[in-house]
Amino acid sequence: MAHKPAVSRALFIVGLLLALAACSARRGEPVVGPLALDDHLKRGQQLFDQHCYKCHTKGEGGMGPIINDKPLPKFLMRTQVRVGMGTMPNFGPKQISDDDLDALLDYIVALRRAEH
Amino acid sequence: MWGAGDVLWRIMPGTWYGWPDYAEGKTVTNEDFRPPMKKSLAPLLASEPGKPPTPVAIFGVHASADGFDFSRSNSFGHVGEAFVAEFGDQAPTTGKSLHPVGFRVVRVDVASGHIEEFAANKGKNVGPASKFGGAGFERPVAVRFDPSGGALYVVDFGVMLMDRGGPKPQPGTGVLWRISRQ
Repeated sequence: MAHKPAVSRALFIVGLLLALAACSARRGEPVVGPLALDDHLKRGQQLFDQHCYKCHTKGEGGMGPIINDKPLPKFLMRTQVRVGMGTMPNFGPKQISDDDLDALLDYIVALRRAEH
Repeated sequence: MWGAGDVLWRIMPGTWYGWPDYAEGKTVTNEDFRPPMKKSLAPLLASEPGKPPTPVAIFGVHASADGFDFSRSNSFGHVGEAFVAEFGDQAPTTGKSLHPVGFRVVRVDVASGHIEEFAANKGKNVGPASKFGGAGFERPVAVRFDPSGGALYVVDFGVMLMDRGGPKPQPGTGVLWRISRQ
């Protein structure tokens, strides 16, 4: 059955997201090895450990959803951190400064890219 | 309390660690601990005996961080780090968790508080081995290094099924694991 181009694009995007979401979220060191972190990413890791780890354990999910396998652009992740969503509290600039939020988001992206 | 992770504390004499009005070094009124659609808990104490310190590390909520030991030998590695058994969540009776958490041994850099997975079941999913038909950890509950420091022993509680009626441990399924570099 032939689809219109816009429908085809939408289906492709949905399929891509589903395919990506089906990838393993395991990012523990025994799975992906130690991450190569520069000072910027180490700061991001520190912030993740302090603010995010207990619900998103290294991005693999727990009380919160998996966040290391979702192709979300950084501006959307930034919005969610600042605004919160559902049971996730918001983190304002006094808790996580803009510069620190950059480091945190870059760390999450590094987790996402960690190879199995 | 909703949203409170297990913590690793460094105990210092004369210090108040916050019970009953703090968790993780944060007041119970912190947004982290407000259940969905409900109000935050109110503090119980009329006056606080001090300000709680910040924990060394905060584990995943519902991970159930239990017995631990410190690596002391270069032959094993990670000297000075705490190895902690995570028993694993007991959903559904202990509260909502979107994904299983725990069922492994983690190591903690006590200087930075960073927690890293050390030993866990293979595969894409987190959970006890029996859930996925494989061999491996069920529910690690304690760890201890041998006197030489070259091997880590892990006490595994064994199979404990969970449903809305509560825990159902299965007799005869506990094991002792030995982990070394060889």
